Amino acid sequence: MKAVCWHGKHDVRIEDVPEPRILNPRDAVVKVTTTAICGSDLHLYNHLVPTIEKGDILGHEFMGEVVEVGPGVRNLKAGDRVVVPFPIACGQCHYCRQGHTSLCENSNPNAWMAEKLWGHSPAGIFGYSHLLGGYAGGQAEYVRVPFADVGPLKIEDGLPDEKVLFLSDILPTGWMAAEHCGISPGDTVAVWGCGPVGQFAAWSAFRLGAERVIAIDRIPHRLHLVTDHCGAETINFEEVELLPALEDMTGGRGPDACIDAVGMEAHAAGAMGIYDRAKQALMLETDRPAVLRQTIAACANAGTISVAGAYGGVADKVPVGSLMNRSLTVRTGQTHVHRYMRPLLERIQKGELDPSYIISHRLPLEKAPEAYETFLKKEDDCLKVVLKP
Amino acid sequence: MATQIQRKPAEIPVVVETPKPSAAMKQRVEESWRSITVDASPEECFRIWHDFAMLPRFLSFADSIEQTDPGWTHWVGIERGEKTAGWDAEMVEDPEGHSIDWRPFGGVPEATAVSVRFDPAKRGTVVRLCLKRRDKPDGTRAIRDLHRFKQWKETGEIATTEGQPAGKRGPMGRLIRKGEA
Repeated sequence: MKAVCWHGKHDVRIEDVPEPRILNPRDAVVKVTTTAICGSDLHLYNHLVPTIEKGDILGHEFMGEVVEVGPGVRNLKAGDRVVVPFPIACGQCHYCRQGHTSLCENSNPNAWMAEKLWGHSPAGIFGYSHLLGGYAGGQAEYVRVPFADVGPLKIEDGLPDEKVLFLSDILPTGWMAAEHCGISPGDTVAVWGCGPVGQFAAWSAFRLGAERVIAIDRIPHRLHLVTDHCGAETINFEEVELLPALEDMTGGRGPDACIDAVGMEAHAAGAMGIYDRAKQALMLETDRPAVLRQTIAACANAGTISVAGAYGGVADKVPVGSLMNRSLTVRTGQTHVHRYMRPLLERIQKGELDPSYIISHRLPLEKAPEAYETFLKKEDDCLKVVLKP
Repeated sequence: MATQIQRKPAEIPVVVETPKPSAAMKQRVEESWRSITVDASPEECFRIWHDFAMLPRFLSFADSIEQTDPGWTHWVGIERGEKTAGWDAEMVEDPEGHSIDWRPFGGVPEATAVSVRFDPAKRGTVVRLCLKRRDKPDGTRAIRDLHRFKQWKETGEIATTEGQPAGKRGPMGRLIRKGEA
């Protein structure tokens, strides 16, 4: 079969690889009908995530048709249409039972590696480095899905792939980012980054009771979309100085909650931006935390920082003094996708949201190498690429 | 009338003893014991660890374990998919089911001393494992094998990617991942 394989910085290739097979009783094999490139795949593309290896199959946003199930899977059968959540969860461990499925204790075969780097291990994730399990991803014709009796969500009412695909990651990720804000009526929520997660976080913040949402980016096309589809106010940080603008818009108090929907590769101007790029190049810090710093500086006293953007290692000059003295709360985590899929599917079924509006590029799987490059450079108003195997 | 100044009574130095780590805990840290909490009773865990056919499923360095005499077992190791020389080990069990130790006998280099403890906890059983080869503890292998035990006990399978497809590996990857499809 054809699969998108990582081969180095800015080097992904289409390769012919063997088809996956059932390895454990609770596995399924899914024929991928639609898959997408996630913003966090760009961290792999830029080789900023450790323990990715040449030949690894990428992709953690995918859906398709079940072709085979292991003897332990009784709730799925060949022919079922499913969306697969990006974290792999057993459904039985201490964390899964609490709904913290991205922290499953039993799905990461390389948990010991993650423990060395992070102290404790989160769940395994499809196509996202050996630290997170080394599972082959879904940017391929077929994919093996472990714990298939727990993760995949059946789509039975004929909704097209494009409307439900994003239940695998970015829609629940946007929702959880907003939920983490603990929004009270009247609150103002600021969202850094108007990529797909930022778009859905802005939409979710309104659904969860925010009075105002201020969305921040530098790409006009993305800012237009977040206004048109989510009703957010916007700041283009290349046109106006961000922190004074936010202060002005919030009567000097700052947003009640700040969502970082950017993560480790923030674009920042000025001395701090240069500092981070230099340190990252020298491998003295792995992450460029410009947005994290800004969210802390901007947030209202006693407010909440919600981190949805991905970070991998260590970052410098995070203003802990501001964090501590002003009673800020930080909430974060890989998304517990399993718990949000069904309620969000219901919202899509009711017509509250058509998430497909973010799709800017529809390409065959074979075009993945070009698609990664276009997405990286944000050329051609590229916001979201879906690939058809 | 002059104000009487009440003097504080002479301060008595109070020595507050800081809590000391228990001797057992200190020893476990020094010997690189690793622990994991498993959703099962200590009795169940003990039973599984007593099942010699089962042990190689989660003890990644063991290919087979057989009881040879009462209190004695014969182990054959496995490294990079190949069997190693075998060794005999004396088995010492706690009659209450809280511990098992396998102490290798003889000078086989691969011989691994295994000590496992089962302590009831609020959320199941704390299973502690110490693996030593020639008296050198291997904490990384111990935690890897504990994860495998927990996965097997809680989910009925051991998480794996062995046998999954991959693209062309680099020289390092080819070395590390022999079992790939």
